[in-house]
Amino acid sequence: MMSYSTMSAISRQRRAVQYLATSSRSFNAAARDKEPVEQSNPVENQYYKWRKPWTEVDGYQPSQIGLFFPHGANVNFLKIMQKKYDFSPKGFMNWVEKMKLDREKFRQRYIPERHRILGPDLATAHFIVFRGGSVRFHNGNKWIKEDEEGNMNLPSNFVPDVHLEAVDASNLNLMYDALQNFVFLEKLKWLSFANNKYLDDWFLDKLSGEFNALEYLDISGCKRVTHKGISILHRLENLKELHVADMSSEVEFKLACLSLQESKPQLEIRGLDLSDAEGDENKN
Amino acid sequence: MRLSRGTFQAVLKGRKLLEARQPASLRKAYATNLPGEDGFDPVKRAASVLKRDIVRLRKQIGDFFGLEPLFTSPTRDIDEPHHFYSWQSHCDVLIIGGGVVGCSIAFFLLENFPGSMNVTILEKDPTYKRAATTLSCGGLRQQFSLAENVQMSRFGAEFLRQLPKRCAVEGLDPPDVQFHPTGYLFLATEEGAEQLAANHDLQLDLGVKNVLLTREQLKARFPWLNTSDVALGCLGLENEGWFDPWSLLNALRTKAIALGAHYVQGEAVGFETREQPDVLIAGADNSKPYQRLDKLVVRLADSERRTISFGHCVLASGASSGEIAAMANIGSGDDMLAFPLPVVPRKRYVFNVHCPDGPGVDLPFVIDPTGTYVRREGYGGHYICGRSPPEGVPEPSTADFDVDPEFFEAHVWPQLAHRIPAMQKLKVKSAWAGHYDYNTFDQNGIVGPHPYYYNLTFATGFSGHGLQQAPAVGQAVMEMLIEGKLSTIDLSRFAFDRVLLDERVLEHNIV
Repeated sequence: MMSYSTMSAISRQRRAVQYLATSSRSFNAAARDKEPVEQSNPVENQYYKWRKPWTEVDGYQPSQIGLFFPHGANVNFLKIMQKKYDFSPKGFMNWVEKMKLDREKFRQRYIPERHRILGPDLATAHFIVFRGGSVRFHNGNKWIKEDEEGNMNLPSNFVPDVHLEAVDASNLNLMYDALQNFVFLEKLKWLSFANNKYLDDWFLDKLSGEFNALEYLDISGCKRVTHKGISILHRLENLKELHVADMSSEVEFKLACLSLQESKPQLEIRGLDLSDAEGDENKN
Repeated sequence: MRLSRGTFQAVLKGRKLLEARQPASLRKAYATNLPGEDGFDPVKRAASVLKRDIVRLRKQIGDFFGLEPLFTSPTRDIDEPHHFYSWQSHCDVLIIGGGVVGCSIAFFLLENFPGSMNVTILEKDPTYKRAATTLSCGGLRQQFSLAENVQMSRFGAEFLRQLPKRCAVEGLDPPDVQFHPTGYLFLATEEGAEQLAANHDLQLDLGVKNVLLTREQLKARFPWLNTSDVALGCLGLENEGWFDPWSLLNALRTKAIALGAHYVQGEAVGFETREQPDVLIAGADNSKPYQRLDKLVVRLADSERRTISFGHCVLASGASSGEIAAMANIGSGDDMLAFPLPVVPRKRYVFNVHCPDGPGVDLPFVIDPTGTYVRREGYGGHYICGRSPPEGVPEPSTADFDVDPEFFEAHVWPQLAHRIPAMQKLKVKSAWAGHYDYNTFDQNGIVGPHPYYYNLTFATGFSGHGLQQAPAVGQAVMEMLIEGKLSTIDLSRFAFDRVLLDERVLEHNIV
């Protein structure tokens, strides 16, 4: 049996292969309609062999109506017919809002071809710069941003040994599913998601498991983050600077920041408003 | 509605007769539908149904024109005192058990097909004092050894993230399950390391993000951890942690009721069957006419008994599922009915301890090789911990909900102190006990139809994982009932058939 460290290394490689090969997995019904879900169940389904419906048992004479329904009842059609459509003006506005959100989510999705062609670093760079953010590579000092004519100044083919060092995604309002684009950025040190209205604890959970080399993280202005998301940031082992200005004003939030500081002596937390806490201490 | 002669005469004479005190014989004459049912006043029943229809129409017109609603609470149906005249005597799908699994099934049925069927949830205790759901730790993890369990938990995590949108009810705050991401840390000794690595491989295949850590890496990352007898650890990096079970239950229940589910308080005490001589069951001995499960006999809070006629029945009653299945002759009949539902209640203790020097925010949900678990609770040095009774120790009695005071000192504390030396000094602040549905056959959920009773579906026996697997089970049962097959997650291995075939589907626990 191989050593445990080899096992650990091999598992990372396998993750890489898996991410680059498959598109985003989702058990959401809408996504299920768009792309087939791959059932990678390693054990074959044996137990329903003796539960064959009568129409599939040998010797059964099928009726002609089966020609119209070769795959059985169409559940999606049933769902569409059963849905309660709200034709009032308010219902229409809700539908428009929902469509906008779905479209934004679709625009921010993970595209496997992009990663396969460009590699993880350049693909993420394209994703960010296209949306108006800026990136910096580890062998340059310039921030790369989309200029007035719309040129992105990024190579459109794979270039080896080009790694992202800094990503500025502030004010871009990236959603949870957009984080699938940020994979295998092994040299990423600087990351900013400031003023992101969709950033919440689930986002931080996904983020904290991904970037091992991260040293600077800016999540100022993200109002949805609570103390639970802050606590999980301990998973970022190399984190040195964290910006939490203009966020939740709850006591637990500050408590979480202080606990995080305690468990990570090298971490510096900026932007934390401790005025209320100090006031309470003085009272006691 | 067949009216007897006495009723007809009474209606002719006018309401004066109905308002006067009536002898029992005359009241029985006002029985509706089938003989043997409880008698009640048909005019009052018609009037109350009409009144509800007018109120509903007024609400619909008001919504369309933007008028002020008459009643401000959107969940008024729940708050309404249970009226005799609104008794759900018939329904399409009856869900026995209003815990998180039952409410999840109702939610998925009605979210996808609103207004199409009468879904009734039967729950004996709406305060959920003794339900497994509310007494649970609330853990969510994807680190299982069975592909189905991993997929169900992933689905659950995805669902919890989308919960504020999917279970939003107009007029109420969007629900939030208070998910605390911590990641699970499974530790394995030398014997169990290979199994842990194999599990990790399977989880990677299914898209789960976790990382194997060697002893040195564990020591570096978690300095408070005693790694002397640990060979390998697996740390979850995404979608693992714990959440508030009551929030999930409430969200699913409220949304299901807002979508039209009927919530009935009562205890199931028996089934009534009806003969269907034209039905033949494949694989069964068809010499006797088929007895179909037709009605459920329910005992109400005031010991009154009523029946609910159902088209399809889903058994999701947790720890008492075994008893209720026995009421349908499952286990006491012959041929296919000779196999009982192997679900029994098991008692487990959860302890809330205070340890001032314990690990801080970097404590994940640690699972020791012996099965002892510990997680952080708040920021004041409180921890939640517990353990299943080790081999050789008898199972605690399920007759009550009392906590055995010696269990912690004898079985939990030594192992906890061995794993995290800082926890040698701690104090038990509180403890509680819960009963969960334990599958004695192979400790995994039983989800699927019964081979003999075509209108009975099981969704029980999750042995401690029901909370995190509830959304996936809801989706699966919805697909089974409507589509007839499973299209999202293939749970066919979890059908009740495996009990008949004596093929266990086991989780490989780490030693």
